[in-house]
Amino acid sequence: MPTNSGMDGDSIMSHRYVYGVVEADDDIEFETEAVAGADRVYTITNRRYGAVVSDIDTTEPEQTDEDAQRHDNVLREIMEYNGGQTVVPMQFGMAFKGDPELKNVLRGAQPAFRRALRDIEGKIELGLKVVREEDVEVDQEAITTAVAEELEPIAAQSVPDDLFSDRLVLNRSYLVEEDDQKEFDEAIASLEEEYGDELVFQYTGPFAPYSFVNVKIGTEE
Amino acid sequence: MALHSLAISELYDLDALEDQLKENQLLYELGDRPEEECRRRKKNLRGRSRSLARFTSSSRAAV
Repeated sequence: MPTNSGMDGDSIMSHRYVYGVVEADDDIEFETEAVAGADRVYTITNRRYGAVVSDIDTTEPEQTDEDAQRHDNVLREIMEYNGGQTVVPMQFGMAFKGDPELKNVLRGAQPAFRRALRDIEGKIELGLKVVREEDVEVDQEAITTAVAEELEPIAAQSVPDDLFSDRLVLNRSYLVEEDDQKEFDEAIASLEEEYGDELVFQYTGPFAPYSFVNVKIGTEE
Repeated sequence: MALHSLAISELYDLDALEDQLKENQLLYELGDRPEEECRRRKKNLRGRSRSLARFTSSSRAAV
């Protein structure tokens, strides 16, 4: 019996957990360690767009550390699939009851996906946290300016993130053309060389550009 | 009830708990906090966060 028939008593792994949205031509399918114990990721398409999904047994997945990491890892694999894919990433937790509900959303949100894909095509997200050493006083404004002067000319866009610790001097996400990543790496290395005695630079990525798309999908839409 | 709510909200500020969870992870990743201490703090913060979520939902239900 098919697992996605939608019949009562046949709901095991019949729902769809969404990682992101791609152009429908980018037919993505691979085996991996996916969210909630699934082992395969594939694409469900409707017209121009496809949702990259895995099967799941709930529409309200619990965000454990492990599954949050799997969500990020799958998105990274999608980005690297077949030489590189542009994907509109979804935040953790987007799960749909079945294919019809998901296809409705894909159809309804076409303009938003078109805009998002256009904005992030060929780009990656990189993160930078600048952390002061314990018991070291630093000039936050001067450091912020120095970092901006180095990185902003290379990045296509950037957004500030929360300063959730008093040791954080700067926390920012950058949208960078893939071709410019090496230049960005070198700029970070230059900053580390200049400020490494008093500051720690935590440089992360590349990620799917979560911070630069604002597409939220849900069954109610 | 109002005093009790105030006391709880001061003890369990959800945003502050989230910040402490993030800081705990950051300090662990930077090597400034040992793994065992990181785990202990995370467990404690998660527990307080869940308590707050339960308290908030039961308070809403009471209103």
